[in-house]
Amino acid sequence: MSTLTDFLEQLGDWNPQLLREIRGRVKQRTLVVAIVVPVVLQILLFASFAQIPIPPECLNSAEASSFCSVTPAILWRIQFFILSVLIPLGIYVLGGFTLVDDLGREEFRGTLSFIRISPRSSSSIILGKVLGVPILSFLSVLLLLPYHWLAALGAGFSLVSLLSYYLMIGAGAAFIYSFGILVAFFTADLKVVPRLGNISGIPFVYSFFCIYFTVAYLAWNFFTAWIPFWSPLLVVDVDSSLSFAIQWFFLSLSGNSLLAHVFTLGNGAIATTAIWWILRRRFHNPNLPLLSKFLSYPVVSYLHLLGLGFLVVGSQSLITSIINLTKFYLLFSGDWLLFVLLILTLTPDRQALLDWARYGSRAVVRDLLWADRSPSMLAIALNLLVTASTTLLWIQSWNDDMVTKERATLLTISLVLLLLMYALAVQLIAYIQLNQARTWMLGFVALVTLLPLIVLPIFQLTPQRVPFLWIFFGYTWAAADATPSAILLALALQGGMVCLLGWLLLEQMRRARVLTSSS
Amino acid sequence: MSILKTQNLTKQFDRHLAVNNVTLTIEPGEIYGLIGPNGAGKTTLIRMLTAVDEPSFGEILIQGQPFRQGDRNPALKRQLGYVPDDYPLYDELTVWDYLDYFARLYFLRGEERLRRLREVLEMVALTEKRDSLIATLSRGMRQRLSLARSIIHRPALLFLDEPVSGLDPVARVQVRNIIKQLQQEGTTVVVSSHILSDLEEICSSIGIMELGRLVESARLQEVYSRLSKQQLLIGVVDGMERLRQTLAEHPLVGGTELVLASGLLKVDFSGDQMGAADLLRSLVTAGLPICEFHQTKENLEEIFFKMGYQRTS
Repeated sequence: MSTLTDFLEQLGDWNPQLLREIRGRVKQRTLVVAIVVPVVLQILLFASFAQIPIPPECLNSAEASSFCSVTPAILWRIQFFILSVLIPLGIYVLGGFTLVDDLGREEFRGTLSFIRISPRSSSSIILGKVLGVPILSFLSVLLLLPYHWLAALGAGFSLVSLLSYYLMIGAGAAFIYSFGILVAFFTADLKVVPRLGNISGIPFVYSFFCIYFTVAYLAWNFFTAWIPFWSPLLVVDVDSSLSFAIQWFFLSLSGNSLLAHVFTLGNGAIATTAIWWILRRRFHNPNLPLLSKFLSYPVVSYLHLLGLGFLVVGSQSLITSIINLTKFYLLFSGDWLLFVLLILTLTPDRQALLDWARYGSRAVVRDLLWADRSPSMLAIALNLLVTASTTLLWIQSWNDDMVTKERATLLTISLVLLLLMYALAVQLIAYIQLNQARTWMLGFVALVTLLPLIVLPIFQLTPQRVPFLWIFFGYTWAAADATPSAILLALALQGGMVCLLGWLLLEQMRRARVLTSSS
Repeated sequence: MSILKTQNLTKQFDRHLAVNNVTLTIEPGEIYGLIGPNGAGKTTLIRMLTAVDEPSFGEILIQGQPFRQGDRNPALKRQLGYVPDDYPLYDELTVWDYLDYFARLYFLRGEERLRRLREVLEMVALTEKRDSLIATLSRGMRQRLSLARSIIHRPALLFLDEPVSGLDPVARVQVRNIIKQLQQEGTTVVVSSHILSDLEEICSSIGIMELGRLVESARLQEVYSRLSKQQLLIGVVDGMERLRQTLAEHPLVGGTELVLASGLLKVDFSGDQMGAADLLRSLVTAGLPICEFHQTKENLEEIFFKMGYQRTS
């Protein structure tokens, strides 16, 4: 007992936030639940597998003939898989929920203010949150581990495969928790998701994301890093050619487990580091835009290249059958989503814009490119320029006919203009005096994205009849057969709209200067 | 060197200047009272001084060093304590665990931390409640706990935003005594309050805010000598109207006002003590049945009303 007290004492000196979270969460009742649930789960799992009859001739896995569909090793392997799915679900989903919920509550109550003004670094506080808030989830998962090891032993998996599993799951946890805190900060003033009693709806939404992430992340690792160890692909005996399908810029991720590990862990580290950079900056000043202009350039370029890397090279099986234009649509959609998020996270609020108008430096262009409180238009345009340039370079490398290349080029320009329209409109919304401005911005993007899908068919304005209108709203896939003239018409309309919105924004910026200087 | 200095500190909310070009200097060991009507900008000013909010413009110097939001100045942050007007707490923690958490945040370790925890609990009279959950504390106790949190690390500069609002008279006296004790221990205190009689008793300097501007900032004695009019309180057994007429003819007497509760007449008087003695003699000579005659000065509340509140309203 005294050893535990001493340990907690030292833990608290190292990271007070961690000790505070442990003290706030580890109560008798919660502790019992955290222990009983995994224990009962293991008993049920073990009992249900113990009932499966194994023919006597199959009892010895080593000597069992190929006719044995059930051997002890196979049963252990299935139990190992079940536990291997339960562990990340417990860590990611339960941990993610509690973390987002806790941060949301702290922001709501205003208790973070005291922590912000303490001399402890933001990294120390956030680390304390990450390690301490999901402490009960960790405990539950910890109790699953002996059974997990036992199952690995029974299934004959190597120690390296276990280490690989824990390494990947740990890296995933670092990402999902950091991202969860980011979500909690970003959604603190967002009222799109309703509250359920005292609990905000955001943690529930985030839980669903965590479930999706868990499934996708496990599948990704099964197809890449874990293939030589214990991928279920080997169990279900899928054609092994599949395992060489995933490539990134000529690197075969599914053909080289070490490379897959480096790729996944490296990208996880980059993503987590970038998120922490954002968190540290945002922690002290919740009124700043989530993303700084400075960070937006490397982040956008990195994410764009990451996506492009999977499309540049086709492989022997799945992706080779996909034509260039379809891959282009994938990139188009990815970039659309990336820039919508960029616009929402980079645009400063009205207060910051007015402060900049009144107190900003005289170096306007430098401010527009780097300063957090200035309008985000120029930074978004620069990001679009970099992204579109690499896309155009990729298009030029296609071994395809000129018509397809020309169409893809025009559609890339169309995407740039579409996103500029969004950015200008969102910036204009930011200038309006509104409660929940960020909710309005999000609502606007949702509206211009979804409304054409509903309204245009009602008036029988199908992609075949008016392709330019569909391209204008960004539905290039719907107008796949559009003629160059239709695309050019959409471009002209988009260009006109960009000019109009740009003029309105300049007017708004001028008025902001006049208003603030006269107040 | 001054412990706190601001230069053109400004905070603008939309088109409203909540704090407008505040330039302020506070010397070590002072209790600086910040007064002003609701919306004058006191809370906004304190939130900027504690780096909870970022100024739109201007500079803050603490002990001569620039102070801003962020991780850059942990040494300066260790010098600051802050009790906001709404003092949110962690209801799920005990009083001891809560203070222990903040003591650790401020790098207090081992025996020193335990000693300080006991000291502070004693100071705010919460020793009995050390193992109680915060959720079970009364409003006054929560306020004192919040105060305890803010002084656990012995800050050189303590900011208190409306520390006695909503407290009963006993709790108010307790908080006032704690502030005095902190000053004796060398802490500089910046306190905003609506209860001006409390400030009058403990403050060495005051700042009066009005519509975001700091319209007055000086030592309290200087404010009194410059802005506080001398007054006389005069009572008669009979003939209040005659007393008024007689006073109206006197060259050193300004306005008069009847204080209904005491039945005394409050008289603005611009003479010295000899002048007051002459006035009393002349009243008695005039045959007025004088039963009370006091010399007094305008208090802080009256100065405040005269300077700030009346202009604002």
